[in-house]
Amino acid sequence: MNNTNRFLNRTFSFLIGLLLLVLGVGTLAVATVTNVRDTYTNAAPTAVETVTGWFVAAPIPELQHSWWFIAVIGVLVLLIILLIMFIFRQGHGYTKTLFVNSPAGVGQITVDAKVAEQLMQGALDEHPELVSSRVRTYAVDGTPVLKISTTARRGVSSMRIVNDVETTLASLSALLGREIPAAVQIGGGVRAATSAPVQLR
Amino acid sequence: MSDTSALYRRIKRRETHSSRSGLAITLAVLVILASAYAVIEMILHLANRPALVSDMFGVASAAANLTEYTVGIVAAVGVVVALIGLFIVLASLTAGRRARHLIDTETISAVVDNAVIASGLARHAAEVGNISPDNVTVSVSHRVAVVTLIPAFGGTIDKSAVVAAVQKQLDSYALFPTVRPRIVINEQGKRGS
Repeated sequence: MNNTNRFLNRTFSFLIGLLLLVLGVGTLAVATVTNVRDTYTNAAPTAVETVTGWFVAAPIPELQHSWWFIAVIGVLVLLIILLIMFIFRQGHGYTKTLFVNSPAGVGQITVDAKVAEQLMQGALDEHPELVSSRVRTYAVDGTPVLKISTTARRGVSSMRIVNDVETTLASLSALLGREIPAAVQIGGGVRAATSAPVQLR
Repeated sequence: MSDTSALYRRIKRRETHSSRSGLAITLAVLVILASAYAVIEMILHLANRPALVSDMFGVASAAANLTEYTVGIVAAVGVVVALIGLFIVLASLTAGRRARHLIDTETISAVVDNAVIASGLARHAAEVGNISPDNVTVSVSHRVAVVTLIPAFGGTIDKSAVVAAVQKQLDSYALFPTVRPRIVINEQGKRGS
């Protein structure tokens, strides 16, 4: 429902996983395979010396230090900022506007998502087979969609809840004069297990 | 309506599969912490202050002299790191299906947690089997619902009636993918309170 970039999540995880896999297998190879071990023993110190050399050389005149440090610190800080943005980009995707109607020549009418949310919420609160429900509006590919998350009471038929939502949605559509897409999610969980029993008919 | 059906297809897919946000966020936090640590060490080095643990030169030379450590320890560390990496790679490539089913309905997108299906089935199975709901266990997976009933003392349960009742419930739920019932009457089971 939300606009989390799932492909990015998977790509990022894949790259980190691959890095760890390669490092792990490499370490294992260095430890156990004689050829790799010998090559590593010869080559690694030279490589490290070369890189260390870069850091010691090319000093910044006033600081007596290599600009390599500044560059690496800069890259790492940039990486940290990007990752923090990446974390806070998860979720989201709500919209405040349900639709905008522009009848010819008479300005425009904006219907807030709150209208549909509260009408739907009010109707669902009347139903005893739901412990709780929550209505939000997401823009999915630019189309506002009502997302109804419900907690069903134990033993309730999920089809009954779906029918309730469909009925309410039909009245809502009739009221607003257009079809509103909706997605309902029926969950159980702790609240369903601990809430007091009620008589359902 | 064609654009709505495409919309619903997208919603249904996203509702029944994990976004892998938890994994991605965890990894991002770990990378941030590691980067922040590296930055701090480098700044301490530039300021000629003592390192917190070891400066980057120390880390590099330790890695270069990997072969001087005990082979067993190095190999074990390698295996652990490789396994963690493999786990993350698999998690990033697999579908990550959530324990939910779609409900086949045309006007809206509807998904239901397997736990809710199970509790509905348990209620009806208990009713038909004429036993307390505490003596029914239902576990719903992607394709099968296993309903285990424990008969009351001295009582018997009409298995075919339970099968019919559970099947009728499942039909009325119109789940996708469809779920097959499997009824188990457990005579040896321990009765609930």
